[in-house]
Amino acid sequence: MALLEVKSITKKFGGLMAIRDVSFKVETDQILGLIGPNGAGKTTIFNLLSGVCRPNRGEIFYKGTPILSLKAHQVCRLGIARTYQIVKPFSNMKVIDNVKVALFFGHKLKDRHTDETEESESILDFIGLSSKANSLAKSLTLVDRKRLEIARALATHPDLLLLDEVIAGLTPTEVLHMVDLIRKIHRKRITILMIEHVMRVIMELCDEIIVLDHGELIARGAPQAISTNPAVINAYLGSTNAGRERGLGKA
Amino acid sequence: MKSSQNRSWLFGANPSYLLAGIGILLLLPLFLPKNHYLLHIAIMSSINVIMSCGWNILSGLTGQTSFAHCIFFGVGAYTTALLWLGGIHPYWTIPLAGVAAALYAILIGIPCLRLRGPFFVIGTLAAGEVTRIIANNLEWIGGAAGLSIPPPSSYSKLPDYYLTFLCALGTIAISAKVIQSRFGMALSAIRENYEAAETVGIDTTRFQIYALCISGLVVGIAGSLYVQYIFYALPDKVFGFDTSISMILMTVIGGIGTLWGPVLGAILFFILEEFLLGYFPSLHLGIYGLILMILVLFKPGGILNLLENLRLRSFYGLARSKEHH
Repeated sequence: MALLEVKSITKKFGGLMAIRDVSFKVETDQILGLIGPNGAGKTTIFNLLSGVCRPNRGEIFYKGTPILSLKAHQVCRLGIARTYQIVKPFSNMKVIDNVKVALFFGHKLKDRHTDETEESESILDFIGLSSKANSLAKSLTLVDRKRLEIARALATHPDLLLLDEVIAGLTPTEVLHMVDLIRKIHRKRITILMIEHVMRVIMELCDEIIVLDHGELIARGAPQAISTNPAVINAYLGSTNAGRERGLGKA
Repeated sequence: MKSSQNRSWLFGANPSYLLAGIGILLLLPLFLPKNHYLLHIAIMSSINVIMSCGWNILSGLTGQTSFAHCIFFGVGAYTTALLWLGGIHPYWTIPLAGVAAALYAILIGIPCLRLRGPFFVIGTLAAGEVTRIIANNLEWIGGAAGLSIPPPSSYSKLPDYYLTFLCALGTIAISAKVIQSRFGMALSAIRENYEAAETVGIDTTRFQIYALCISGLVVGIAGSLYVQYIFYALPDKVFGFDTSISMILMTVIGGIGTLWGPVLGAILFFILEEFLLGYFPSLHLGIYGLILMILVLFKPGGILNLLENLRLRSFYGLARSKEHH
């Protein structure tokens, strides 16, 4: 059984068809990449998965149970954590308290047996933010804010982690660290679904990629296959002459 | 580390000063005639402290500015007035007034707390006005004339002084407990970022309703104490827009979202009000507005923040001068 199964979801924003009949599965323990041009509906998919908004049609199953009727906080408690592309730290709270809140409320009561302060410190240590534990979240740099987003998501003890462009906007060194971090998270047996624009990273990290364009799923496959898929190239570069000359233009 | 943890419930207040302050306030009336003007100021300040701390629990912590809190004050006031007229000793009506206000809070919270920002403000404004108009027109609770309680033949401000003082202390304790708890942390998270709070597992609507409930309970108790002191529940006063505004002003002037800010703000607010009303009877609201504008522009953290900065500055100043010698 797939960890997460999305069955033909459709989402309209007024007259705009943001997501049109998209189905895919996320298998346990994989790193699945979700790519697509700007406005393809990637973040909308995340919003639908995490319960921030609801699709007009379709179904979503997590570990076999339907989660569509659940609110965001309930989805989180089931074990799906997410980060936001535009980071949303609790600015006027300490970094460690940001993590603690997630630890207190992000998972079901029965899991609470360890000391929260200790656990949040170990999460910050894992993520590389322990030196800033006591500063206010608003004083962090962009890369640290992205780290904090991940730390907060990890604190909810997820089985499935949705990463929304955690790499975009980072310097090359920071990118390397972030890739390492994602690998470390994956090694903790957390399944990852990630949206990313930086192709090199996606190719390196993911064992499978799905491609979204204008709200429709246009391709799914291994990174190598995706990079040569004519439909994908068409979506990214348009059906230009250059594309046709190489025989890649027609989807 | 240990000692700072033990003291964290004081929120930066020096425990010996605090105890001394409580002691002085408890003994103060012994040195005053039983109906001294200072007692009046103390009683009204205590009631104000309860109101502003109550308002702060919802609006200060979650960032949802409520204009509906006059309702809870009024419901508390009317509950006590009605039960008192019905022959029940007013002290027994205090918890009932609190509970009635809390129930009303749930009633208002369920529709209003789905809204955020300016929409919540408008929702609560409407709820407040509607309640005031209803109270003005319900004949069995006195209509526009309100409810007045025949004052007793012999009268002393002392019991009221101690009652309001203890209730104010209790309120400060409750709000300290709330601010420090996990629940308080969740409320702060909601204030900082509503969506992120929801995605880390906080049931934002429910938590805000709980906060509103506690907040309403506390303000309801303030209403009850007010009637017990004034012997009169006038709908346009207790359900009035001004009552909500004064709660907001007190909290913002003192320091919104903190423990001691609303306390400080409430006391200053009342003393200032008495002073301004005495010396500039037609200008006092204007002067208020001015003070508030200056504060919000230059010190949005309120007077508490101002004092903290001064204290830090003098502390660092001291440290520097020691280094030099």
